[in-house]
Amino acid sequence: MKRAHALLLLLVVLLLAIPAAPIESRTYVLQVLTFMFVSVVLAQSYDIVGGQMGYVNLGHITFFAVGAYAFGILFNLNMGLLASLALGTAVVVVFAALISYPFFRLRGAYFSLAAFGLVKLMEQLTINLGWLTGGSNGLKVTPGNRVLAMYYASLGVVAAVVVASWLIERSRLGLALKTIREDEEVAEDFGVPTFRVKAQALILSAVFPAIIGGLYTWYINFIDPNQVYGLSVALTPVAMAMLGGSGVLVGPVLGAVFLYLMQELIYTQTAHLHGAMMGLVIVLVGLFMPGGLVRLGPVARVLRRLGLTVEEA
Amino acid sequence: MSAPLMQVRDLTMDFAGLRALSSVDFDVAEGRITGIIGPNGAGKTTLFNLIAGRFRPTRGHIRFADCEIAGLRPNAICRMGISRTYQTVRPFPGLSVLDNVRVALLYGRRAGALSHAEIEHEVLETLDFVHLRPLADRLAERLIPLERKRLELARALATGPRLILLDELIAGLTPTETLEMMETIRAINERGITVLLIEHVMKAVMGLSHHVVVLHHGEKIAEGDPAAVAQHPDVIQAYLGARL
Amino acid sequence: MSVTIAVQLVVNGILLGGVYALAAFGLSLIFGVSGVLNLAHGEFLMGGGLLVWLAWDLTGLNPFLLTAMIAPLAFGAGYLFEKGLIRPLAQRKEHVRLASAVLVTLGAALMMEDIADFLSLNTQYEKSVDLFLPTIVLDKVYLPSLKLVILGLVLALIAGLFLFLKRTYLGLAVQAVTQNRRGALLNGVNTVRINAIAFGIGTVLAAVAGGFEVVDTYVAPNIGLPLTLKYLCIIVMGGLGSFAGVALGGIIIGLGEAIVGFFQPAWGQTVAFLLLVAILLIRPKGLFGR
Repeated sequence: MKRAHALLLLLVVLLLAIPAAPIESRTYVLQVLTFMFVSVVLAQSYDIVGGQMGYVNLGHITFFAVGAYAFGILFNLNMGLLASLALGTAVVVVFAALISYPFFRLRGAYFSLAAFGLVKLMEQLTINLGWLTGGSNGLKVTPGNRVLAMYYASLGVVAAVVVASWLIERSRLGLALKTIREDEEVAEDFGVPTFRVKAQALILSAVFPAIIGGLYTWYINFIDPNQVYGLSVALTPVAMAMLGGSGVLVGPVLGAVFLYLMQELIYTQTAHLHGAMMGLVIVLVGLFMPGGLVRLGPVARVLRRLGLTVEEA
Repeated sequence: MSAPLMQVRDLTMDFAGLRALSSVDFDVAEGRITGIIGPNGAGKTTLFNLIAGRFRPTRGHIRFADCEIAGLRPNAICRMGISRTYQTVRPFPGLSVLDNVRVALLYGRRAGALSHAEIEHEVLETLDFVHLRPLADRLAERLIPLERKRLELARALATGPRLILLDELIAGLTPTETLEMMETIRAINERGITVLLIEHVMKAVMGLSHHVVVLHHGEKIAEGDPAAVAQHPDVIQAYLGARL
Repeated sequence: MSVTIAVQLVVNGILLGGVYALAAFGLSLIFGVSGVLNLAHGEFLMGGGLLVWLAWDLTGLNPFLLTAMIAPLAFGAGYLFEKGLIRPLAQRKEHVRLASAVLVTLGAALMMEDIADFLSLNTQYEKSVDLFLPTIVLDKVYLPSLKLVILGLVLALIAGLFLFLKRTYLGLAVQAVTQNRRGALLNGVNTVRINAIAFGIGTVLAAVAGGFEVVDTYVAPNIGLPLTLKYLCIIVMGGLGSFAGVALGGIIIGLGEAIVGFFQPAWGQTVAFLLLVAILLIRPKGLFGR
């Protein structure tokens, strides 16, 4: 079996086994990993549109936020976990389909900017519709001990988004996404139904943050606009995808792991200026690593040896 | 004589006060090579852009295979059987040569009609035809200009077109390369594909074309077989005595 | 609704829009010349405002004078910002350059906001300069002369900018680069320097707007990003490269905010974005975009 597959299997077994491992502060480890999985899902799903298609969707986090709130509202209506998740995700899918109409009339920086404005708009809507969402006071759901269930559930979503990205990349849709990234005008000249393809990509990229958003609400029992719409939260998936390597399958995953651990470090080791330090990290990523970790010489070589080819930025 | 494959009538294009094309009329016969010539700025590439769907004409009609195509979206026009190359070569830079051609097969006129195996076979065959097979895995941005032109040709062929628009394919080639390219264009035509080409290299245009249309300042000033057009006083005047 | 209220709203809206337009011109200049949306633009406004406040708090000098004095500092800051953070991105492929620029400028914005926040610990969060000028009353419409002074200065600056662009060699060079970078380069324009100068001027406009803001209302560490978004809405709405578009966009948003804010205060802030989406749906290149 290829080396990459063997390593992957090992990793999966490891992750599945951790809850049973006799290590102290196991719960803490599970919690850290869970939040890391959330980051991975956000970064990887962002990259479907941001990396494969080349549209920097700064509004990606709205799928997470709407998914989180939709779940919370439905769950509080006693709809049960699975039904709330399913229906909440459906809401996000409709949302994504609707916004693709106006937003994909824009290109490049215009698109990114409008998408970013969407975050602020949704945040404001969430605050203003207090009767539905709890406004700035936030939304509570009935608590429960969900650490273990959340760990496996989020791991499952990580697997799902990675597999989905992989399948998309190898499919006809994936090729269409790349042509749009490379030269959208010419793509259309050669038969690619660009508008439809863009909408499909957006919807696909929205499904996973929607699910993980619902699970997030279920897990931490309380969400408020600042948590799900904050500037840092909105930017982090983009930074993670770029840091790891946008447009390459394992890039966002690597970037998410790396940046998340760095975030943990900053937040637990210093008292002030967390935002400034994260800001600095993000600036440095933007300046020095446009291709990401995955395209750095030594890392790229290792990946090639494992059978994962990486094209240059 | 069978009905023309394409009919252009009263085609007019204005760009914010600049009239690029003015009431252009001509027919394109099926299975033939038609050349479009004219001094720089005559509106030739605008004509291609209108046919391919990049712009909607200000006025006029373009009938292709009994359908009005003026103003249709480019991907619809591609699926009807028209494909093109570009004056400044535009392959998909970050994609491999293989993928460049594959896209055309997957989304062009025969989209959905070919099996996976058939597509792979066609891709390689098309690359063979343009002599790019050895470079199949290379990224398009790493090709030299001549190879890029061949890639554009392969991509345009892969959509399975009835009409192919070639925009200055021969410009910038050495004499040997010019002859090779002319052979390739003839070979394409022999497959039954109608060719519309824009060229400045007179020997090539006149040597290849069955029929020539001459544009000047957005208007058609002459039309006919190459020999006749070459003698036409208006054409000679437009080129200020260029030797043909 | 009475006529006087309507007139008051319109007046307020135009005043509000004027200050928005000033900073938006700066951002438009930067975008037009370098192709980069400087998402930290609002932070420079915040920084300018805070600096003016600090100087006023320490010296008690006229805030308008102080604003003029910090202008050169702002120019330097913008110039260095471009040199250090933006120039390295110039050679990258378009979507890579866009993502990099987003990260760099938004990361910088995050840093600037957090640092200002940190420095504001133990002091009042919202800072404002108190300047008392008489209120002109015209038949029940209240016109605070302070706002009129500010509007006058804004118009003067905008006129100055316009003259600069149309009448000076540097201004023409700036326009040339905005319209056709390669063409300008081929004509001997030092496009690299023009980029940096555009950033400098744009930042000055932001900082000066900040000085006006701290006198007119207040400045706080967290105003940067919402303002940046508003400016971006204005320039996208007005259409890239259009002077008139930015002015019109500023007024539309100013009026929109004033009117909506009066009837539904909570929705005042979303007006900018809603107008943007509405206009882009009708004209994807903006009102005057090319």
